Amino acid sequence: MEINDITFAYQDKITRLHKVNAQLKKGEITTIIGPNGCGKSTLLSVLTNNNQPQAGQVILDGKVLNKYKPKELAKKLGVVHQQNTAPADMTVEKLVHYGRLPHKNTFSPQSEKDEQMVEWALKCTGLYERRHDAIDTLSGGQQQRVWIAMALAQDTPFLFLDEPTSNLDMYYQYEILELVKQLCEEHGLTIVMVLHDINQAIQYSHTIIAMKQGKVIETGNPKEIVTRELIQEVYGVNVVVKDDEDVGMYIVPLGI
Amino acid sequence: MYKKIISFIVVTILLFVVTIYSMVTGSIEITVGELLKGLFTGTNDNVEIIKDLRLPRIIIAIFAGAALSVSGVLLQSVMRNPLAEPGIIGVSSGAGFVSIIMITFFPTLFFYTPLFSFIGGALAFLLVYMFSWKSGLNPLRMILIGVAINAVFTGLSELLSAQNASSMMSGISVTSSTLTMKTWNDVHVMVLYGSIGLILAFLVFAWCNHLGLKDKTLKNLGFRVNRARFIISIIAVLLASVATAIAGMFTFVGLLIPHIGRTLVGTDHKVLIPFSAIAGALLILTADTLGRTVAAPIEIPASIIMAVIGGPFLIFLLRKSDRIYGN
Repeated sequence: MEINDITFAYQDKITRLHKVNAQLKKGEITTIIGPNGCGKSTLLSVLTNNNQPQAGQVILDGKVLNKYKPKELAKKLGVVHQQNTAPADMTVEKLVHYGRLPHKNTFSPQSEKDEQMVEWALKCTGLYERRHDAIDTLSGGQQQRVWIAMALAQDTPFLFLDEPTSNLDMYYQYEILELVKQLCEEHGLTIVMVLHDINQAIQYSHTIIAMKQGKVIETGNPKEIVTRELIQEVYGVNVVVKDDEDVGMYIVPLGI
Repeated sequence: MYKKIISFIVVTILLFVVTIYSMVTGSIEITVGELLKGLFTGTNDNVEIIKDLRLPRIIIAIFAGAALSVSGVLLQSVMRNPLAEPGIIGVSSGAGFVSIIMITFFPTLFFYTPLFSFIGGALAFLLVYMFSWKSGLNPLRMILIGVAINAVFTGLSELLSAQNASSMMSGISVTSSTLTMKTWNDVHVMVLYGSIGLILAFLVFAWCNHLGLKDKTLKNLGFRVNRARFIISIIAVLLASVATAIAGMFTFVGLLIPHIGRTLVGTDHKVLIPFSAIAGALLILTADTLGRTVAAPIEIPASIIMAVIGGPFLIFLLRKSDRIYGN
């Protein structure tokens, strides 16, 4: 996926993205980082065609994003949003079945492939045992996994996750991140996510895109681009960057 | 699961029982045996009178109740708002207003009342939608605008009927239901458009379910949200307008029945739509039957009885269940 000179503003005319350029490599995990309001989620919404850029274009497999038919695009991109709603009494399995929507017509019955994909998605996310439970009986972490399972059932080569770890405790955060890693390594998915925790971004991504005020400040392999200066510039936070033999690279914030 | 099946069986049996009871009670009293015999042989004079006077109003009550309830279900799903209802957001009063205008100025076009009604309902709905579009269809704002639109149309209609108090507009009232003096012609219109609307409503149940998710989620699934919204809205307006044109104003039923439905059979529209149709029919028919028998020979409008028995029942159900199902 190529991102060429994207400029975007909402109706309020304030430019949220300013000439953003980036490349998303297939089979890799790319993480977008940056302070609140820097345009991370906006960029994600443009990449998933929820918003159309005023200038520039996003090219997916040689075709401009907004030239795709809705269903055609939905077979390529799966998206997990930050906030989701579903009727409280809906079962996990039913919700995950929604992921199969792009693959069928309004009145067509479920195919064997639908069943297989839903079962796979449920097993991947460890929800198979709870498939008959209503969504509101699940914990926050489990609910987050239901939405990921729905996107997985969609059977797309690309998966976009908007802050998949927010509002989860440490255990669930790493559970989600391990799942993301597994999906990338074992199933070859190309994953793009927004994270707040720099150490998690370093640990789990092949590529990091650092943003500030609607612009890409730096992009590349975390080992190469994450420096004291970068974090100072992007977040205005004073950190030390360490590279430990056992645990790899990490940062420790010191203060403002 | 059992709760769903039992709820379905209970309302269906009740509807059947109330229909029979409604046919045999009133100023002319006959037994069920006489009724059945008369219906098939056509020799009993009393049964013939019932067929001409009582049966049309029973059939219309059943279809109007079903249409208004299902219209409520559809509007709540389209607007993602548990308070949306044709009476509250002005669809019914818009339908009533345009019908009154047309009949006042072009009395000869009486036959097209359902069409005018549909235009009025669609106009009101369009206004609500347009004015709340900017706020991103914010639920609270939408309801407030709906209430305002409803007030305007109700006021305008009352103004018109006050000026023409003596004219022939007895067919349409702006504040209450009118189920008396219904003819088989009314029945034909109600049953025809009502059935079309109900069948269409059932065909789009899957779309109504989809709308339980957020727009952006649906877009990412390749679902054409706005097209589905548009089609469901048209069906909802059709159902509400034809009911208003033939049976008058019934506020509240489109709110009451879907909520009762959700606590009893859940939020899946495949079950909720047919359940609401049957339960709505039962409620209006019961209300109308009580209305014409309780204080006979005075008739109490069905809409009043309905509010009096429906309100407490909803409160009772809400108290029992721990949450309010929205969409």
